[in-house]
Amino acid sequence: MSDTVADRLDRLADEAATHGGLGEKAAEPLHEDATFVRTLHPAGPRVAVKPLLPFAAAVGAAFLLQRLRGEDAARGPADRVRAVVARAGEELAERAWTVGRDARAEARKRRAWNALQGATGAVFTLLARRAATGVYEALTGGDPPRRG
Amino acid sequence: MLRKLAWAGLFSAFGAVATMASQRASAAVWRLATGEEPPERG
Repeated sequence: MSDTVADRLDRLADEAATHGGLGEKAAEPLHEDATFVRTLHPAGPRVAVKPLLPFAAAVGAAFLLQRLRGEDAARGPADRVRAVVARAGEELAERAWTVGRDARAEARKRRAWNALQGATGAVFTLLARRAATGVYEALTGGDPPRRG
Repeated sequence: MLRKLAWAGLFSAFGAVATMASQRASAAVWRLATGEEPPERG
């Protein structure tokens, strides 16, 4: 199938080149695209599975952790409303608790939360880049384009 | 051009999933570590 698409792109490029001007300019990137499409692995999704595994494991673990905490356990709309009201109540109680209390402790807590989010975000971003690179390499047989 | 588009799409998709998952993971770790809900934004 990739050959058909590539052939079409090549034909389109040749046709565009005959028009001159802008068409001629568009011909070269179209030929490049045709070459790129020819490099795509015919087994496509099957070869892309392997590099996905560590990323899928991390994402699955994150969602499972939350599920184990019972966050999404609420089933019906009434349960959801109860959960929202209960959470609002908890937040209100938490706010009430902080009235006249140590603002520094709150700030420390926020800093710790931000640091945790930053660290987790960095790890997941690295995993995402690695997985995306793996899938790209498996599909095309080449390195992903660099920035700039 | 297609190469760059394909890479950008792939990385964006993985990035979006990673952002969601990382948010959930850090909230879960926070709850496990402190027994409290994570602080609100703002």
